Amino acid sequence: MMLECRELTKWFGAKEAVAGLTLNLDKGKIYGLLGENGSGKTTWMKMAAGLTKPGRGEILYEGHPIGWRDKASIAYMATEPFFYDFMKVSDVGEYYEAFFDDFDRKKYEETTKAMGLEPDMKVRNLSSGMSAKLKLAATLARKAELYLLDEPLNGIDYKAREEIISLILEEADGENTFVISTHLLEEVESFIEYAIFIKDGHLADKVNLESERMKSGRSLTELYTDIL
Amino acid sequence: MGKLIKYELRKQRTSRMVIFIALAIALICFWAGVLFMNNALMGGSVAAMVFGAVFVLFYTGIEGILVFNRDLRTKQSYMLWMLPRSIWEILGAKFISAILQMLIVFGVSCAAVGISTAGAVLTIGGLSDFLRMIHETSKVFVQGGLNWGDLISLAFLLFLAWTLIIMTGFLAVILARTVLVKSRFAGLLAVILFFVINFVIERVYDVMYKIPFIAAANNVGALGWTVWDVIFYAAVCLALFGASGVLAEKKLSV
Amino acid sequence: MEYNTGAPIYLQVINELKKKMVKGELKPGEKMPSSRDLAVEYKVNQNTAARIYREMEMQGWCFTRRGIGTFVSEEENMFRDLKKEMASELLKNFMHEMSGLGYKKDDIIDQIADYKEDGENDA
Repeated sequence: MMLECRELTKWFGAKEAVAGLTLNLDKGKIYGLLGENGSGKTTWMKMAAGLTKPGRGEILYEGHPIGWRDKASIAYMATEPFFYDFMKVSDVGEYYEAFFDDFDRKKYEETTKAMGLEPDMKVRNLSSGMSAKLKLAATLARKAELYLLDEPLNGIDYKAREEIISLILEEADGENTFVISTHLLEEVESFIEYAIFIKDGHLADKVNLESERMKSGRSLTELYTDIL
Repeated sequence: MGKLIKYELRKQRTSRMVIFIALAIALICFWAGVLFMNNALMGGSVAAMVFGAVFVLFYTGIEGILVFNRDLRTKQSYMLWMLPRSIWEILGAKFISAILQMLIVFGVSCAAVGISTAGAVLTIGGLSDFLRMIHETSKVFVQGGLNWGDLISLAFLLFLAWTLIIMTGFLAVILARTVLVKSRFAGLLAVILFFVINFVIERVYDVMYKIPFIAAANNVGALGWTVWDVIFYAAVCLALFGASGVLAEKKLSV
Repeated sequence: MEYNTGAPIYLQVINELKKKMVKGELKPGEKMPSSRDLAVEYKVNQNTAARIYREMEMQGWCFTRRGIGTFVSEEENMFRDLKKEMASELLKNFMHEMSGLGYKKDDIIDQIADYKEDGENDA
């Protein structure tokens, strides 16, 4: 087991964002994290990334309680822009190279170039689509064991979405693990192996899509409607 | 650690630039006053520099706390918290960057003002006045009873007092952000907590002086501190740093 | 490619690859894409890509040389058989649908003889 979450609970004031979530992830799989807005997907992901501390429950990463050292092999990408305002595209590469041993600077430069991002572009002047691509280029240029991508397809046009999915599929080698949260079911349907359905902060169901298609012939959209 | 410090200093670059530009403008006015023999301009710029220095000293002193608060308020906190670095290293880097920021600003300002003053004296009074100024200045030090030992202990005590402010600030910010997550009032609460923590420290300090042999201790150095003061404040700084780290490690969600 | 989202993805990709073999887009003995390229091309994950090649190997439609890659089978017979098999599969479905409409075999043959494709003019 790569990641085990036991009875995770997180309160924000009076709101229970994550409520007794128990969820296990295996190595080498691509998971889709699905649920309505405010169902606790982002909070769970931030806890798995070590950015948010659970109120109760525990997270084990490869068998041990998760700690700051594990961030060396976990690549988290937040849905909002988070790079420093003063950075240029090239600075982002320099920053990742400085702090992540698994970062491939050359790959980052190639990917950003292919996306039309110039090294001297200012991060804060990028359009939302470009900014989303930049985050993903930086995150995927790492050779991490666990990738946590929060809404990587949000706010980008169709063609760019296809590019981003290709990037993900090139990086997913069957050894590393991906968790991708999204609302765009049709976009991810063909390649996610397990759909994790989150409802009101707990696990509603975890479904192997290919088995489900063989068994009941239900598509992801149908499953989503049935389960949530 | 060095890499973390580099980016922390980068965050403070804008304020550094603003300070240096203001300093440059004041010096240009000062020099214009000197060259055109305009006393109003000369006096005005000197007054502005003195007033500015007080403000800059205050601002750069607490800038580290402000930057930390801004980090936690925005998504930019992810830039630090996604890194495989311990909270101790992150807080340590912030502390050292705060020191460096002050040293840089202080060093550049002193050098600029010093050179400028010396230049002005030379321009107006010639070499003999300049030499006399150096002589007078050094006499003040000797007659005032100041020596290097006193200067160093004064610097050390000031450093300790400032460290106390920074550490209190860090703890106040972390407390505010762990208790009042995602609230607009977290910043205000941090300010209130800052004074509360200070108040608590002073109460503990008073209690310490109830102990007879501590109360009997002699003053050391220029600030009138006793050895026990130094030990007390050093211990408090350490305790605040420890509390900040543990609290952030266990409870802080960015 | 467009998937039927209610059917297993790996079978749909296999069908697509079979069509390419029959149409000659994949020639006997030709190297097939690496499983990574296959994954990107067909928007599937690595495990599905590996499964696709495993199934196709089991059917004898392709073979793997360790460390080099997966290749289309070199047996000409296999291609003929595959084409026949796919044709009879289509025919079977067609006949099934037509008999469902009440047509007899002879009627269907007549229908086919009279059938004109788009653009074909009446003589």
